[in-house]
Amino acid sequence: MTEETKGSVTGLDVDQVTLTVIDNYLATTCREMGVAMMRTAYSPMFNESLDFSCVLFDRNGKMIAQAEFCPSQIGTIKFTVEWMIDELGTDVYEPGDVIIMNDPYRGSGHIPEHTLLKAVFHEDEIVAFVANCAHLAEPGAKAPGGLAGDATDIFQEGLRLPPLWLQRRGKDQEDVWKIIFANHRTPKVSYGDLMAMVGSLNVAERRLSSLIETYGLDTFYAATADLTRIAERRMMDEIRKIPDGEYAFSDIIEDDGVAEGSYTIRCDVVVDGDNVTCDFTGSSPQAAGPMNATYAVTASAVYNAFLHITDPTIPRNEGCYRPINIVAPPGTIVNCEFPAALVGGNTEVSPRITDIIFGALAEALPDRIPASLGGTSCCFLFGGEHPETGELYSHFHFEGIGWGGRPTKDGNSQIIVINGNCRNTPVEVFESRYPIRVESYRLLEDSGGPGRNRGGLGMERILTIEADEITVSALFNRMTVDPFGLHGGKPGRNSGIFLRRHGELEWRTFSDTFGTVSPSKFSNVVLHRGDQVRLVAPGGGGWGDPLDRDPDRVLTDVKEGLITAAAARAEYGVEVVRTNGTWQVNQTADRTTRETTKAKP
Amino acid sequence: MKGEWIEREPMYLSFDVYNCEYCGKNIPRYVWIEDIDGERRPFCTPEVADIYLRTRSRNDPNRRREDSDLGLTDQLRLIRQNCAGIESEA
Repeated sequence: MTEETKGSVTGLDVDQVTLTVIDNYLATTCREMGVAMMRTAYSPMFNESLDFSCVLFDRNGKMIAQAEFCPSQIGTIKFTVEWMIDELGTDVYEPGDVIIMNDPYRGSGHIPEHTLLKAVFHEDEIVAFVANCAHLAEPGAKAPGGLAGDATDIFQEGLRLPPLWLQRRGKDQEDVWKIIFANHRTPKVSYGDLMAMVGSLNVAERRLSSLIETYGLDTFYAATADLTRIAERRMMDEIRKIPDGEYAFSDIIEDDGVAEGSYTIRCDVVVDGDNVTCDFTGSSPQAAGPMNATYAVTASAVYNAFLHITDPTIPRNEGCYRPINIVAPPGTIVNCEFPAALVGGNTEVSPRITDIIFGALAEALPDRIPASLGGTSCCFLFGGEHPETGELYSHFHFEGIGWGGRPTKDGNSQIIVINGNCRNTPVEVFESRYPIRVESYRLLEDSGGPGRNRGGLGMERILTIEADEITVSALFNRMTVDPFGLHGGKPGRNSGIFLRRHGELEWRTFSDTFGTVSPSKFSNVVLHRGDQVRLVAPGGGGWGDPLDRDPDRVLTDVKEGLITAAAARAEYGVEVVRTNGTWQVNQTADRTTRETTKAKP
Repeated sequence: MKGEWIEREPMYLSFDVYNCEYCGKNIPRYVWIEDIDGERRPFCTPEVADIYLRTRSRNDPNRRREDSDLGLTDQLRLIRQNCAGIESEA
């Protein structure tokens, strides 16, 4: 590289234009990996829900690029890949080798999430690694779909794979595939999904090789190192904008599926110049059931929080994580020890941790921090023998929730939980693949926490079973502990999962009907044709005093069916009436009048 | 301080997970083992073991010593400087 082409920013080796081109090329490569997976996989988890992530690493296993995938996976995969390379070493790979691993006690998020890793070679040397992580709908657990809400150890949560060669020199390691498929209820679907992951790695390998051929290996190395330094500096700049201090917050995980009793997650967020440490000392001991997070999941949730409240244009690589530090004492709910069950950590504990970081920083950053989101993935899992094909099926269904009201806007409605960034399964796909009919699917009025900026709405979905027998499991949270509001905002409405047996009129909890320890976390309950399940996703917390909400916005909410006229009066102090078929505000907007209206019985 | 570096070897018949007793991070390969009251406890580095001894309750590692000579911010600054994987290039 000549002096003329070097960057103008202090300490950088590559010029800004080349850096920008390479940064965008790397991120686009990740996106292309995702498209390849989406279009070639077999399961709706991949091609509809997009529950996967694609990431690039340097030759030392440090993340150099990612794209807009699943935040919980993007955060954990840096630990997963670091472990895989540390355990196996750097000198054991050959061109075409693909390694698989899903062990949460080796840095993965939970067992359903499988990570595939491939070394990229240039002139017989490893120059990078490419990896993806995806949630397989069937990991061979005790419950179809994998998320057993009452699991008591890791062995009930599926087939645990240490780093293994799935392919050597591009050829399938058949012994490994046989072991996996012998343990999965739906081997054909798992095969299709895993091969989609392999194809995605091949796309990335070709793209990186092309990049290196274009710019040369030296420029590639220099550019990725520069981009990492830039990301670190810019994240440090962002943290420096937060006032130094020690900020504490805690929240509750309501139960663990196997015993009564709740768990506290506590965090001290310590901002110290351009670094921040999130210290979870004082959190509850690990749960007996699956509501535990690993260190990687906890770290991932913390990263997620900071990526939400800092400049979104910071390059997404190892550098942006470096100024963020985590202390998570072993043996606690935020860093469980082997062989604890933990499958709910990645779906339920993770979003709670992100909310706790938000809660801690709410006073320090009042213009950036939202109220609590609904905070549960509403995991509903089912499987059985399809009445039309006779084949086994298995599916992990999750729902969108209401997000918290923001300093400047209402919360979004019916969006997948903050650690997911996934999509839910469309009704048409749902009904064509599985023997379940969707009777109704709607936003739930009044579920968003009242506030100057209202929490987003949750939803209600009613499903009817269309098979003689189906096995269902669930892993919900926020069924009894409210999504919190901020700065005078009110909580969002809780989640729920209810059952109406065929021929009955009354909705009841699964605890009432089947005696499950928890109404929100259970596994392997058998339902029959005509039974109905009602899924309720929670709303987000409100931001700011509801009496400060513009009456015109309250009116619009009533017109659009997002809140009822009764809630307009009781929560917002706004009398909205319908006259000649038109909704209108029937009072003056001053605060005294609104307080009086709100106080009316 | 009484301790030693060990290299964790992947095992077939047993599965040992080493979490740093202070920061909690899973340590894949090179682990500092400190002998504390007759128990062998893993840490990212010897320096972290020292901070742990100065700041943590012996009976409950999930609690801080109230009589520690280090405040929370200072403790965490030292942890940042000494725990595995936290290395600045900026």
